[in-house]
Amino acid sequence: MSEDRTIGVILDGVPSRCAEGLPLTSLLAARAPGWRASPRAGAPRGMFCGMGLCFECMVEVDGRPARACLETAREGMKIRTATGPGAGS
Amino acid sequence: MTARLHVDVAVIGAGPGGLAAARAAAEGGARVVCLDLFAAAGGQYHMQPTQPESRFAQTPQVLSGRDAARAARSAGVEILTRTEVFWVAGTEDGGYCLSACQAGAEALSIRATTLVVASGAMERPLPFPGWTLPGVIGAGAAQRLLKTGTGALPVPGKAVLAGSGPFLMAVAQTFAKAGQPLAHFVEYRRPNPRATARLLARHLRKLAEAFGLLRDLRRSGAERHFGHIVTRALGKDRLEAVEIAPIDASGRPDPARVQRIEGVGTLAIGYGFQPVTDVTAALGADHGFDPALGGWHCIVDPATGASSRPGLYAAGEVSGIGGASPARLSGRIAGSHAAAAALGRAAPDAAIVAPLAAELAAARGFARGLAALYPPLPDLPLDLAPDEVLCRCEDVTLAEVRAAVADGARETFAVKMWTRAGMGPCQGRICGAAIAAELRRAGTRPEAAGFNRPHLPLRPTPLPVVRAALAAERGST
Repeated sequence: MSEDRTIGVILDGVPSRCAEGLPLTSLLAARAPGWRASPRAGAPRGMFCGMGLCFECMVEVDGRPARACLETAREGMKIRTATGPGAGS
Repeated sequence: MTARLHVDVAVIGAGPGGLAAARAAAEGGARVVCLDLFAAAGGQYHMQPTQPESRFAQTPQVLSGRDAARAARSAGVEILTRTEVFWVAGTEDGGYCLSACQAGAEALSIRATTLVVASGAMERPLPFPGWTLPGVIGAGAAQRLLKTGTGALPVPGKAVLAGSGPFLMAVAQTFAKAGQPLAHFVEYRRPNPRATARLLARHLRKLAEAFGLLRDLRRSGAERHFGHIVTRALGKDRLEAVEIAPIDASGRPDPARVQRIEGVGTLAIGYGFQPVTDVTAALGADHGFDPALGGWHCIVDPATGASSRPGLYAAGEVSGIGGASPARLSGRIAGSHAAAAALGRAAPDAAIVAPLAAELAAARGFARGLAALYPPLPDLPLDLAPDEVLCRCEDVTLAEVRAAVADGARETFAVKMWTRAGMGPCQGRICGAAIAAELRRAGTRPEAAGFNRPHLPLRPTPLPVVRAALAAERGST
């Protein structure tokens, strides 16, 4: 508790702070459990399998597609979700 | 620039089976590389916390995983994490060529004389009404959040843990250790105390573990519902409520006794495991179907770990669900045989390997006993609405799959061609069990329904990476 181990990330354009190395699924789900829309019905989706196989938790990390369940928070990381504020811009 | 490696033995997966195989192969004198998708070696069983103050930092599973990785490295194994194998092919000289993507962006091409696949298991996802709502996650996913995250579930609201099988108790134990409140524990089966006692009497070493699980299930504070099933998840844009019902004598939920649990943020659900067979299937090794082993699995000779394909070995869950101890033992066996074969030496000393094979048979026996106590459900005894999604990647509904089956689709592959179910990023890993269940309803046995055939790339991979890895492979022949 004494030392600040938080780092800064940009989540959907908004500067946010979180613990270093935190799985992105924890960071994203704390905002809302869904952050994608399904391809045909546009239904809300979020992490499902949590181990890299279902691809439901896809996000963009520093401009590249990534599975949130396999990524951990790093200083300066830019995370963009499909349904977050500013999506599609 | 594509990185290239030349090794005697390549091991896919750094879980208990893969690490044991890699270490044994290196101790047998082979040059070994061990590849894993995750950022830390250990697999799901030994998953490593990311936060230094985690309550899981000093658990036996975490420490033994770290020790296994350290032992493999000191034996000379090169462990490459964040490395996902997206294609494997045989080479003209009888070896193997692996194409991998590192950190989601870099191509890696590996030549190996022999290959050990220890790709592990995944949860067998069975659809139920509302299963696509955000907040509905796998039981293993909940465990990963608790063990590798802050120790608390990120979504506010009650947590419900449901499904069937011994793994559910392990997840309840994780809740208890994390100090994360668990509101409800919903298990389809009713435990049979006499059969459980008989199994434990034959495997006394498991006794302490079993008592620990029971104690921690109580400690989790969860209201326990044995012989119950989640019949529905409800919510608008996210999970809000869960309905559960007791199972009647016919094995189906009693609709008159549905109970609604409000204010739910997380429903963690798990109905057992299935082997991850994409690599072994892509190489054309023989696979078999056995519900007690999680369904489709790679067939191996337990004495050597050898598959039907020369130079290809399989260890751990990919050769049939059994847990961490069969994985470790089969890994040691497969790794030592893979090294001997790669180096052109005689099979490893029978005096060393024979006791391992005996231990493996006992460990497999315990796993069989557990599977008999908690027989895996081939399907959930629930009626899905026609518009319920079976294939999450492509939004293919039950009605569309039924129409394909009525039109004459008789195998998984035909359903895929008809409907696109299984064509999305997960490549049928998630919908496979549901499609098989629908085919079974129409009279096609799972053995005949088959599984989604793997093709290049096995996992979604950026095209430049695919091109670079394959070009490197052509250049090296």
